[in-house]
Parts: sequence; C-alpha cells; structure tokens
Amino acid sequence: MYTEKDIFNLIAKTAYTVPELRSRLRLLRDYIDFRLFSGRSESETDVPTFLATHELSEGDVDAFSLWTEEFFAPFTRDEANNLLNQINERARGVPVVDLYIPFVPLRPDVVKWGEFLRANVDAFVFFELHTDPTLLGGCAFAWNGVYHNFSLRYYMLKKRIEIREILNKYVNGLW
Amino acid sequence: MMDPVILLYSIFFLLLLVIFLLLLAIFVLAKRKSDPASQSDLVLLAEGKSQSILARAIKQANRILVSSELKGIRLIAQEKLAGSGLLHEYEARLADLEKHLVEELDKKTTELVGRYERAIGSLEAAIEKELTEQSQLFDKQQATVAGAISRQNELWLNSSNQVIEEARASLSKLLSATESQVKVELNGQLEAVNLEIESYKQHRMRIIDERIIDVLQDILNVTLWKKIDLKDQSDLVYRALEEAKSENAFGVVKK
Repeated sequence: MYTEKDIFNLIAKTAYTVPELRSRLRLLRDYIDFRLFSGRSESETDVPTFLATHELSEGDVDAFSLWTEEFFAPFTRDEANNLLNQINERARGVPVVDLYIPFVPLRPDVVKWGEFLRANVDAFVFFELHTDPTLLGGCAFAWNGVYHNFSLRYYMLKKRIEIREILNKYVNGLW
Repeated sequence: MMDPVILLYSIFFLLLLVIFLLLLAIFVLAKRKSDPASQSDLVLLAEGKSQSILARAIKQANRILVSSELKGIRLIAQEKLAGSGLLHEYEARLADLEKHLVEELDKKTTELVGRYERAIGSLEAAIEKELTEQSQLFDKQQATVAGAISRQNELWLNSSNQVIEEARASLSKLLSATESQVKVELNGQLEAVNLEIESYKQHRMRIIDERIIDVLQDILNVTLWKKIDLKDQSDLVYRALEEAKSENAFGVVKK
C-alpha cells in the first residue's frame, strides 16, 4: 500500500517547478473530494468522468495518467484529509532553486532543466521560475540564500582583461 | 613579814569586834534599864564588867592598832626601802644595760659600717671591672661593626656598579630590540599600505571593468536580443547551469 511518502514521490515525478507541484496537489485534493465527498456513486466518480467534468492542463493530464487505483487506495473517507495534510506539509519543506531567465520557457525546457537539477543538486529539488529581461543569455539563480549570476554578464566579467586589452588596442590604434 | 592587806583586814575585823562588843554592852544596859527589879545590881555589875571588857577591848584594840600600824609602817618603810633599793638596783642595772647596749650598738654599728664599706668597695671594684670589660667589649664590637659596615659599603658599591652595568646592557638591548621592532612594524605597515593601494587599484579596475561590461551589455541587449531564438536561449540557460555545477555553485549534491 502506498505511504504518504510514496504518494508524494509519485506526484513529484511529474512536477519540476513549484507552481506545478501546487497544481498537482490541488488536482489530487479536487479528485479526492470528487470521489469521496461529492455524494456521487462509485461509477460516477471514476477518472474518465472526472477528466470530462474538469478542465486540466496537459501536465495535469499526464500526471493523472500515472495515478492508479493503488495510488488512491490509502485515501479513505476517514484518512483522506489527514493524508492530504501530510502531503502538503511535505511539499512545504522541499528545497527550491529560484531561477532567473530572460524569457518564458516551454515545458520541454522546464523538464530538461528540472531533470538536470535533480541529478546534480537534490533528488527532490523544485525550481521557481522568474523572468528577468535584463539578463542577456544564460541564467541567474538563488540557492541556499546565495545569488549566482551565470548570464552573459558573467562571461564578459570572466573575460574582462581580454576585453580591456582589445579596447586599449582599439583606442591606441585610433589615436 | 605580814602582807599589808591582811594586816589591814585584821585591823578592820578588830574594829568590828570592838563595835560589836560596844553594841552588846549597850543592849545589855538597855535591857537592864527596862528591868526595874534587879536592874540596879545587875546594872552596876554588868556595867562594871562591860566597862572593863570595853576597856580591855579598847586597850587590846589600841594595842593591836598600834602594832598593826607599826607593822604597817615598818612594812611600808621596808617596802619603800626595798623599792628604792630595787629602784636603785633597777636604775643601776638599767644603766649597765644601757651602757652595754650602747657599747654593743657601737660595736655593731662599727662592724656594720665596716662591712658596708667593704661591700661598697667590692661593689665599686666589680662595677669598675665590669665597666672596663664592657668598654673593651664595646670597643671590640665597634671595631667589628665598623669593619662590617665598610665591607658592606664595598659590597653595595660593587653590586650597585653591577646593577648599573646590567641596566646599561638591558637598556642597550631594549633599544636595539625596540629599533628592530619599530623597523618590523614600519615594514609591516608599509606592506599593508602597499597592499591596500594594490587592492584599491584592483577595486578601481574592477569598477572600470564593470562599467565597460555595463556598456557592452546595453549594446548587446539592443543588437543581439532579437537574434537569439528560444532554442538558443534555452541552450544558454542549460550551459549556464552546467557552468554553475562545474564551479560548485550548488554545493554538495543530495541524492
């Protein structure tokens, strides 16, 4: 039987950003309410009926496809609320990287970056996307309270001596 | 020799007897007077007897009185003589005793004075001797003390010279140490100042560099922004994350 940790891990598998995680948790609560507390019969509360009656994003639909009956088994009338609260509590404690990029990314990019961060930072890390148009190329991020700038500015600062020499040559050549 | 007191008592007793006899006679006479019948014969007889008794008594009493007076006087005279004899003897003896005591006193006084004078003499001699000895001892000790004082003075002089020398050596050591310390301190300060100047120079250069980069960024923002598509942007982000990982910006990885 799935434990609260197992349920959370399965939810986290399809969510890389904090808004995605919140969306999955809201989806789960909506479905549990629909299934256990709406007063409908069992046949009226299956997954296809829920999907038909609720408007979900592509990511939510993909996530829902992974949630089997075994996944929903621990959610009984008596235990559902307690379980959902535990999952929410665990969600509040996850590590988060604040990622600053100069554009609005597509889902595949989010997945790619998310998988990179889970492989290289923390197995359950999420990131919060922030749009910063002043950044030119690359990104900046804040992790453990420290801001790191790895945008084009970073690379130019890294090469500042060469840039200064080029400019000196240019100025000297002119005059 | 009869005791005068006993004599006086006997005289007094005799007188009493005489008085008693007189009274008896008077009584008898008085009784005879009261008896008118034979009173005259009896009275005359009694009177005659009583008178003779009385006369004899009086005579006897007088005789006794006289003898007792004589005895008394003799006794008193004898006693007086004896007393004066005793007195003379006593006075003589007293004079002898006084004389003897005076002689003894003189003798003793002379002896005592002699002894006292001898004691005084011996005491004076002893004191004199003691004074001489003390004076010699004092002189000896004075000499010793003077010697010790002069030795001590020498020692002090030597030690003070030594102290002065040591102080001089310490002072010169301190001076040289202070000099080297000041040199080290100055060198350190100079180095620190040089380092500060260098770091200021670096800081100024960095500010200039950042200013250059700000300008370049503004230029690139205007020129390159529209040239980079979303895929390139996404790749740049991924490369930036890889660069961050290679520079250990994420710290320890938690699996």
